[in-house]
Amino acid sequence: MNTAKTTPINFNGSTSEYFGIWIVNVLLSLLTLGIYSAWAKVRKKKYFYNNTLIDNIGFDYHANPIAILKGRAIAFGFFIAYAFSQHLHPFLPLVFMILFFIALPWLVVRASIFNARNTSHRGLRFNFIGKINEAVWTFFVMPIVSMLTLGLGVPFSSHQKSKFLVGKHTFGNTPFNMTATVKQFYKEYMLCSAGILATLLCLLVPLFILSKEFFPHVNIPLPSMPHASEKDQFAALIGIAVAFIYLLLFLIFSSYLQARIGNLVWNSTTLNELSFKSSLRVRDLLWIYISNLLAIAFTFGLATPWAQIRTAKYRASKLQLVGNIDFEQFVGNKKADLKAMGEEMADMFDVDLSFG
Amino acid sequence: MSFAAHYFNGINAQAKSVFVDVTTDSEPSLTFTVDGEARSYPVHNLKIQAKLGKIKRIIECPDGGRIEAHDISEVEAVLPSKNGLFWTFIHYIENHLAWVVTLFAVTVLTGGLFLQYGIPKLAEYVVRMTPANMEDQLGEQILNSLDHPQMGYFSASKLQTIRQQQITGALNNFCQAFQDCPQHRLEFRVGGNLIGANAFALPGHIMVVTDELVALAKNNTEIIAVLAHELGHVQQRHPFRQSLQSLLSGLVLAVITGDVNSLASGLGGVLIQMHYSQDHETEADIFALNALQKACLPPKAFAEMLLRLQQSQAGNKKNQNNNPVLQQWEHVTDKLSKLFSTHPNTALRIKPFLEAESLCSH
Repeated sequence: MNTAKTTPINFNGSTSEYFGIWIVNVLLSLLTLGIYSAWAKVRKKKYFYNNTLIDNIGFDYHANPIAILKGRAIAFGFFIAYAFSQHLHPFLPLVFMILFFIALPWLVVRASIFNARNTSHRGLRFNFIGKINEAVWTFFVMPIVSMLTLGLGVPFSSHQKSKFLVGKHTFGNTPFNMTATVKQFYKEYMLCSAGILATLLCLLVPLFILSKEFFPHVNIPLPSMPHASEKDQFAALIGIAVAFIYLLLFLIFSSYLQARIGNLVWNSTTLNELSFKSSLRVRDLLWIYISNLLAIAFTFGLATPWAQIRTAKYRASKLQLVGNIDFEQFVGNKKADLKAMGEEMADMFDVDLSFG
Repeated sequence: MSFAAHYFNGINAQAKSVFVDVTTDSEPSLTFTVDGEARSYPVHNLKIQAKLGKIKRIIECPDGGRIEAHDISEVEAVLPSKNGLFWTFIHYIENHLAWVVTLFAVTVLTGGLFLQYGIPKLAEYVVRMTPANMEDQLGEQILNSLDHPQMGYFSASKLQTIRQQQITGALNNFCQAFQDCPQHRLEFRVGGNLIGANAFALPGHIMVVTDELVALAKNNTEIIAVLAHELGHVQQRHPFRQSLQSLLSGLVLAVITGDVNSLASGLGGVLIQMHYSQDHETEADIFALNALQKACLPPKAFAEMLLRLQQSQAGNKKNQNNNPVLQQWEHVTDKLSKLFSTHPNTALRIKPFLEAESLCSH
């Protein structure tokens, strides 16, 4: 076992090359009032997928832009309806949110199927075989349980989600299998909560002392509220500080969970005789996210392609395949079968409902 | 002619190294041998994926097979020249900065033209298609949001009820004196620091006049004269058209920035700050002048009230800023706003009102 062969995953995309693709995507999407954005999504995904290589062979993305366009039109329509519903009745936005929450399991299944079936590697499509009732358990019952237990159920809910989303994917006909335990999830979440608490204390105690020492004398007129009283300005300053701390905590929280839960999930996942080795680091992700945010903000978005490429590069570099990569073992359906299966749904449901 | 490639049969994931022969007979086709079995595909049955960055070129076979190669120029040589012209063009732009810059300029220009000319046309069309009760609802919502205790601009009027009834009565008398007076509803509010002395027309036939304006007027005729102008906007459904315009521009911006929530929250604020186009202002002025003449009220009153309003607004601005740098800045922006103002120059605007002869013989 310890002599198991590892195979790296390489990401070959380059910022200079992707910048052109990205900016043409943005400009043509603007020029066509968003219609081109569906084609842009396919082009972007194709670029990232085909540049992600295992043993020199890439992935591919096959979505039909029209299906993406339909999905975006529906989502946009709902967003507009949601945004204006409050003008008709103050409770309507709430009704929309509840409807969305109820529809979420179905949306997740549809989006997963769409994304999986439109992704291929070495001529073999992925698939998602999760059922709607399982999704109702994971995305409807679990969030309610988490809420009722005041968050104590969150790690369990997260475990169920990973098990469903990873374990119901197949490569060709071969299913993925995730064996991480609920206990391991609770351990990671507990460590994370402790870390957040420690960070919060480290930030809040000095801030509290500082505010007592210095703030009563500080009077910074905020440009947006020239007539605000000193008390209001003080409150605004505190508000800004809180917002920054909130953003920082959110970044730490999500980096931690992405790295640690990501590692946990990948390292306990197998695909037939293949297993994975993921070695994401919290501080790497945190640094990547913070520097990406700053770079994008200070370049008015022009650093976006750079940020996306370096993130993809980092993620690929931290994931390896373990075991004998004999791809003969993976078998899929013939295209004829797949097509028939797809066309069943094509009329009504071939719509991209995934986010992003 | 042949090229080296990886072949995937679509049934298992094993890569097979192959040499693909490109035959250029009457019907060009690709031939190769895999696992001792010869395969041949006519080129017109193949889907050749568009060029993208420096990724491998991919040829999809109709049976689910897949050929991946670094260089397929030999296949492209036998393809009809029109094949995939659009994507070839896109690929070219993506790799040439000068084209990106050109595309950028075209985007900015088209966007500007669309916001300037396309949106007003679209708004006009939507106004004609929208039933009146929907406009009334919108107007009610906007007034509510303007009245909002924290987020709004107005507070309740401090005018005595008798005074309010006096003005409403005067407006009704005025309205009965000429035929094409539109349906309307007059509301009184305190404008506060931000709004000051002013009058507005909102969608749904609502007109708002501030206590400050009432105080500024020397007599009821001056108030009626300003409201006559607002009635002009109401009659032409300008407020509704204008709010649709800002809504549509907001929609376009929301598509671009992906921020739909800003749309709903900012509606009232946008309306208060909006300016009508010069054409709309002139239309409302012509309506006011006609109405005043028909109702036997002196058109001069409008001119005098307008001048006083302008002075009060200018004074308001000066009082707010004690900072010399800011005052300097105000001076510059004042000059600029005169250049680009959507309000026709005031002197020019009041001229017809000063010159108009009374049609009534008292």
